[in-house]
Amino acid sequence: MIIEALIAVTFLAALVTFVLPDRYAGKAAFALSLAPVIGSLYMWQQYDASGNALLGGNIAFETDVVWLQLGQYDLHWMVGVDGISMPLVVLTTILTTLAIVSAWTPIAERQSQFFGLMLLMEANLLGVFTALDFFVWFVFWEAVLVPMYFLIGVWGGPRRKYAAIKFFVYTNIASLVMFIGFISLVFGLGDSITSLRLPEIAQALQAGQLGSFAGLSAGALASVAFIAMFFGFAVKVPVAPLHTWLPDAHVEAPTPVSVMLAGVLLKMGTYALLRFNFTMLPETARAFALPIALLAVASVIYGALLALAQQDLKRIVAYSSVSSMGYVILGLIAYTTYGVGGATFQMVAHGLISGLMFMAVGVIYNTTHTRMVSDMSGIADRMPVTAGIFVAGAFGYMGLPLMAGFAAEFFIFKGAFESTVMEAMPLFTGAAMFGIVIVAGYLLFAMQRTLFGPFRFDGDYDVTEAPFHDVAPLAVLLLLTIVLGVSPDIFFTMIQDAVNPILELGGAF
Amino acid sequence: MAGILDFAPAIVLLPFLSFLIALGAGRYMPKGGALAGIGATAGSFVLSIATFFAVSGGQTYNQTIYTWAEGLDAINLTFGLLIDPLSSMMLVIVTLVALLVHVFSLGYMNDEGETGLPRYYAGLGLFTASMLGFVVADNLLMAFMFFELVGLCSYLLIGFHFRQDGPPSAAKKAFLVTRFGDYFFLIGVVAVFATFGSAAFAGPDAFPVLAEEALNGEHSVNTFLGMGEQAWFTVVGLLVLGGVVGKSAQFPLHTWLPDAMEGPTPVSALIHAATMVAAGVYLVARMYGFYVLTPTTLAIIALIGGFTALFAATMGVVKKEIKQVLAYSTISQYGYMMLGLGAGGYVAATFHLMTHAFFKALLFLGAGSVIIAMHHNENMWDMGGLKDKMPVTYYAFLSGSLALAGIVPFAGFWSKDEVLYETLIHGLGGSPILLAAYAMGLLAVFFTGFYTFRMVFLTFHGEPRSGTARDPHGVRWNVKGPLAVLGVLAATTGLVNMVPVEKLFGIEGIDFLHQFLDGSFSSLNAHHYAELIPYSSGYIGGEAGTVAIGAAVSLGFALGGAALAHVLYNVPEPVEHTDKLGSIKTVLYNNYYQDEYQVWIATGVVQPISRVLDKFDQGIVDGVVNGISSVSLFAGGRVKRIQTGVVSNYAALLTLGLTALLLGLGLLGGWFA
Amino acid sequence: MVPPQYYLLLSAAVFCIGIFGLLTRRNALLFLMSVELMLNAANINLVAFSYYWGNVTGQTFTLFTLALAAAEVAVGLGIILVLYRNFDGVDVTNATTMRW
Repeated sequence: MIIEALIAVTFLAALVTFVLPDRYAGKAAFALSLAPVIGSLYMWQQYDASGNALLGGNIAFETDVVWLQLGQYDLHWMVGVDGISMPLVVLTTILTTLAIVSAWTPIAERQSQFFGLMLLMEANLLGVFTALDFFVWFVFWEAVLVPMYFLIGVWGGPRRKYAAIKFFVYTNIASLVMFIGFISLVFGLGDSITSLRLPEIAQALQAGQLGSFAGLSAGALASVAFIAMFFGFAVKVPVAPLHTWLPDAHVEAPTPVSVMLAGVLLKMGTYALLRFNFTMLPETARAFALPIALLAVASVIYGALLALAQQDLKRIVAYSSVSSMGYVILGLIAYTTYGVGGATFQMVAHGLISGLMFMAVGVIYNTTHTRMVSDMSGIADRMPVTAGIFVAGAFGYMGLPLMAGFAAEFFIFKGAFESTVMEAMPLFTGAAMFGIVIVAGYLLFAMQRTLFGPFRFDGDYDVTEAPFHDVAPLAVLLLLTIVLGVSPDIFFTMIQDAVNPILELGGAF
Repeated sequence: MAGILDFAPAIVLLPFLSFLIALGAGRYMPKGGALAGIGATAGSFVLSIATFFAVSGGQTYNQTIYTWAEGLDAINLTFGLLIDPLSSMMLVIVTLVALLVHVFSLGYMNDEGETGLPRYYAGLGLFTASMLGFVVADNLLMAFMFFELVGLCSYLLIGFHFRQDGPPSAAKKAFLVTRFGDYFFLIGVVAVFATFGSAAFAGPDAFPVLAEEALNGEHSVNTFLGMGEQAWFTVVGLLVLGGVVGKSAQFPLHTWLPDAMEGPTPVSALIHAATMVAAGVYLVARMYGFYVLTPTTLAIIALIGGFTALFAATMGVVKKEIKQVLAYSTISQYGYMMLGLGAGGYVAATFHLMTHAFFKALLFLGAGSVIIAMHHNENMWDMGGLKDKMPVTYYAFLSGSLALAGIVPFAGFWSKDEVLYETLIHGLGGSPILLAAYAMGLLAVFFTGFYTFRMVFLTFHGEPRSGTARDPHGVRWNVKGPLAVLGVLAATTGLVNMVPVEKLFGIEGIDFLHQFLDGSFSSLNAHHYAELIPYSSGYIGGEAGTVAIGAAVSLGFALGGAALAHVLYNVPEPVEHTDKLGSIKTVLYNNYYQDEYQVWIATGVVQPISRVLDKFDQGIVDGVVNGISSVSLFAGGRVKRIQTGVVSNYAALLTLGLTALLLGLGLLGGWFA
Repeated sequence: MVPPQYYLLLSAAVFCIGIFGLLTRRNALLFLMSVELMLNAANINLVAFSYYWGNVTGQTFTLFTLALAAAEVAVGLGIILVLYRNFDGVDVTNATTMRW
């Protein structure tokens, strides 16, 4: 019941925040958001699952009741966590709390609505990561978009409407395609399933129950469904060339929303890819290894090169997210313990580090009201603490050892290099790894121009050190990044435990 | 058994502790945290000495102390300590130089009233700790991780004066260029894991041992891309070498090092003598058991080394700033070490690594002392005549210069001579590549002698050429002390390994370093490497004859260079003779336009590509997305015209629709058939 | 008994008159009357089939429809009044504000 309690408390917190006066909304939202944090940490402490939730593993905090009966298929309320979703639940709660704190300074109007929407989004995100029934999952999946749409569209920058609509429509179309793909799988399974519970579907697929549907043979149906679902999730990730909504959304979104978008919302895509495509249809995934690896490498290199061309600090970080998420795809297709495990680990690591970077850019923006690299230099002179954390975060993004990013990237590279899905995987891995040089390039250039050199600022604002509550979330994220980098086993053990059953299906062992 | 080696982790942890102290509490402490750093490095130094003697007594230590990532159904990634003769020697070098640099910093930073001292000492502490962690690493992954941390620290310290334009740029360049090398290194690490399933340097599953067994056919390993074992090992070796070339500033990734002179001088001493640049060469020595298995890699190492030695030495000839000369001499000297390693002279190269650490630290600290005296003017043409005003600095600097130039009996002579000797005999044994590398190395000796003494004469001899040189700023004990210690070491460390004397006069047992490095793990000692070396030896006039000829030739070249410098520059009013080189000088002064082409690659190739891609992304990729939405909007804009607002039209449409429906149903229902 | 075809023909004729009025007239009142004609065409059908099958459901339904038509006329006349007030007349083609 703890998951229901967690989601319910978060919804309730959102509701309370909505009706509070603006003056108290920020502080109250922070205080209320501590409840899910504590709840998720308690879950983590009590965590006792083993194996993969979809493949007959032992699911932690499982609830499974029939909710609605709808013809052939029962709709279940089924939630639970395993080693893949547990770290993401913890990430979601912690990052939301920190994002709420980071919103105290920049959000000046309609606070109670803003913070309420943030909490509403958190509740839906928790639902996405814990739901194990397709219907429940899909409701939460779509419901996440609604608060996000308003958060960008109301509190965003000058082109917020364009960005919000683009985000909403793009990801919604993707969801539709994904939905068609998945439902065709369900119809293909015919009478072998009686509900839309993901474990049941996954296990039926493994048992070879997939029949023909709409004139497609089982194999062709699997391929079509795989492509449709891959497209749907790839937009969310985003994988180049389906990424163009991301920079626009990031640039227009206020800092805390960018943090949530990069830190958690992108992980929905990779999480779903892992849960659906790579767990349910492993043979198909291996058959598509070449195009998927190509897409991964293209995302990494293309995203990094685009980041190099940007002048807006936020755009730089946004494009580098595309690059980082490319690594996740590379790890997933590797079908090795370190590859898929590293990809899952990268979801958490990138969540922390990209959150850190967006917040750091936001803190500078709060003071300077510009994000253009060319508008400033020598900021470190006036904002030494922020600059110090910015530098640390940037090095984390570059994959500095003993920070979470390196652990994740190294796991992925190691797993991808020794992958058996393709003869040429070492070449793809080597190509993708060149991303670590380009990422160093653009971040170092950006830091040199903005943070260092003689102080110069083309604006009328007084550049001084940020207040404590702006810097504190940065410090917490930095600390978490280092802790995870020094001791990745905190999450990596449970991740591997949940990931290994997938690999057995993929024929890696 | 609680031997002294069980305390080895403390060697690394102490400087790390000083980093934390300086970072957290440095601003509340006297001297900005320097004392914590001095205490920590002194502690590490004492422990290192104890470790060194324990290792001399035959003890070793090879333990996994932390499991970084535990694999389920996959291998574990671990941290561990490997203390053998090589690492214990390096520990002593690093801790000693770090200690002296900390003390020197009191004079260079604190006494000069610099701000940001806690940051500085924190950087030094982390730098030392990272390097020590790298030195004791027992596997390639851990080595890589600390290798990268060393890079981070170099970034932080080179860019210490971040309020100016130059240092941040130099710091960025240093990190970026070495990162480019590390990219290959990281692929190499991953490849080693994938090939051998282990990246340990020593122990039963050490990857060099597994590689050796694989080549002997006793054991099979994974190779990739359809390559044979020999070819694949060569590829892996070259990949790892990428990191070495970057960090040890070898051609073509040497360009970051001269720029790194923007950092405070004690940091330069640390970077050049003991930490960052040494890391690359140390890595090759560390996994030498792997490199000796692939002759192609060895030959490439030797060629890179010989070429870099000569290439950098020629650039050192024309520089104006004292630190620039030293920077190019560092590149050149590390070239010798690479040459020695590539030529099969494992002990010789290690020996040169040690002697170079002492004399290069000495020269940098001496230069630092001169720079304090000159009020931070580094131009040698403004100096002159400092000999009488700062005798301690002068004699220490002279000792270091004699060692650098390779004049008997100073340290540099013995080690450089041995490197060249090993190259010569293995070259004579039938390897024209090594002979070519030898020729380049030998020629570089001449240039080394010349630029070293040009620097000495311009700085200390002749008449003062500026007001500050006539009345220099004094330096205190904290500057003179480290100089004196290193001055003695630069003069004497050569005596630990007098191979030429042994060979010429038949005195057995004075090649202490050889004996030392022959000890410990059977797969990691010099003896084992000597057996695996893919070269044969050849001599001119017997072994003793070759020794004599080699030593005489290299000494002759060094003296020749020094003599030329003496003639040209040891005069009261020297003039810039290198101007006579004309356009050659321009090329040399601009470093053969190496920087230009690398900057061009970054700003002239990569940046335009990224801009074009950005246009492509905004125009085409996003254009398609926006295009689809425009098509929908356009179509919607057309279709909505049906909504005229005239009720009669709606009624007409309704009727038409009804009629169409009826007709359609009728056709399908077969009414008209 | 009159066969149901005749009723149906009558109903169709009334319906077509209604449609004709709807398509050709611009006066809102005539519109309303045309709509009533169409509605009653449907009612004829209901009554005719009810009579044919001997089942009173259709006739009952017609009563409901008549009540509904009365309500509709009330609403319709209200709309026409507003139309007259706002557009100076009862010509339906003048009121085109609710277009794209």
